[in-house]
Amino acid sequence: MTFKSGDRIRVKTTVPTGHCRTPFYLRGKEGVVETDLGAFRNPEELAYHRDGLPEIELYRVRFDQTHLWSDYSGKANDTLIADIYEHWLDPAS
Amino acid sequence: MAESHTHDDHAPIEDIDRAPTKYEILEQTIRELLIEKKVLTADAIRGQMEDMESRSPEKGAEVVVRAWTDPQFKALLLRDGTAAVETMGVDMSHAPKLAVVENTAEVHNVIVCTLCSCYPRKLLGIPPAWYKSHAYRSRAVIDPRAVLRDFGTELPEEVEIRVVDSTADLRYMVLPMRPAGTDDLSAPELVKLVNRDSMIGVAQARDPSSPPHESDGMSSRV
Amino acid sequence: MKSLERAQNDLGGSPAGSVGSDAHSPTLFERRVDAIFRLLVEPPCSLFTVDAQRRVMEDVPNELYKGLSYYELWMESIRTLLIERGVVSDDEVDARFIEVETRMMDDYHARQRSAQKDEAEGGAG
Repeated sequence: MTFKSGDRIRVKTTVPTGHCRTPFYLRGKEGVVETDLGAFRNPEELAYHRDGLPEIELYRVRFDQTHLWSDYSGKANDTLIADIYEHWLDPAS
Repeated sequence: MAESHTHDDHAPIEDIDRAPTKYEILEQTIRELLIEKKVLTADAIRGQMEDMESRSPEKGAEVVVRAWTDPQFKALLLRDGTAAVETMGVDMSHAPKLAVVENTAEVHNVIVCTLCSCYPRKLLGIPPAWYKSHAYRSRAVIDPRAVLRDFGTELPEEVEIRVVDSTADLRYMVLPMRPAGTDDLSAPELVKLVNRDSMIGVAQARDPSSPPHESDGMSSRV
Repeated sequence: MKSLERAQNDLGGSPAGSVGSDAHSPTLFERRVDAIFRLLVEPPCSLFTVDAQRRVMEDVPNELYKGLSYYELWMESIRTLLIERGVVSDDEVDARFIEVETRMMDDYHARQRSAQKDEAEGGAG
């Protein structure tokens, strides 16, 4: 599934079995795609000396901090950006 | 006599002689084996060390100041950070893509790598120890305002704080806001206002009327 | 074996104290480790990837992860990766380590004796 800027997404809650670049604090969280950053070799494969092909699309995703943390003490308009690989994203309902 | 004979500003004078640590011994061991097996050469190692020394916040500050004073360069910098810094003579071969995020009166970006210590090394050099610490990596995402306060940075309530977690192949740098009252300053004077902490986002560019801090991320110390 | 809980490097939002201000210039040891790492990762060596190094560090025993300094962890991971890639063997590294340790400790003690001798004679080192 390919995403584009403005799409609402939800980070998967899969439990990783090896190297993973989707932080724990983002799993299951909803956000908005800001940018399609292009395709990159899969770090989960590169980590084991494999070639990481086929490349996977990478997205810059924006999250609301008040959504990420139940006790967020900052401002309601604070945000967090993370770069997430396509296979970790589902469309949000 | 200690091993280090370098006297440049970036390296400490290691004149306190002490027994080597386990990992210093391991480093010597591995280095010798790699050289014997012709995987690396002593010259290549020395050259790489010198190369990394040449990458520093001073270079980043020059990039920032050029963006402050040249709108076309700024547009390129925000669109394609790697290409922009290459035009200033920074060798970015084998470097991950550089993404520059702009701080404004409305949005203040702060960069972290919660998963390890990703940092735009090819431009700014080796990151400070605190950037790699458990405390920074844990708290920057959940309480950025408190972390900024740890650095003496207080932002107006209405400013949106945007934390950028470098989770993948891009390396992020902040383009800090140009301080007010700097219209008459020359480029070299402006460069002195931009420290490493402001390019990470835990500080802002220095106001020309306030004195520089001791360890504010500019390695040319007195 | 990967735990079902978060990986030890996955620190975002975990409990922590205030951020310190350690911004020391890299030591000679740190700069050497950094240089060796970069040369092994980049062409022409391209012996392993940054991703592989991260994975190795994520998999070290937790006591090591918490107890070693940043660049000590890097050095440990370089050792592991060189063995994984077949450049050196565990035994080779162990054997050479003992030789190097003896040599470096002998040098250190010789310098200590020389310094004490200088002091005793009332001269600067």
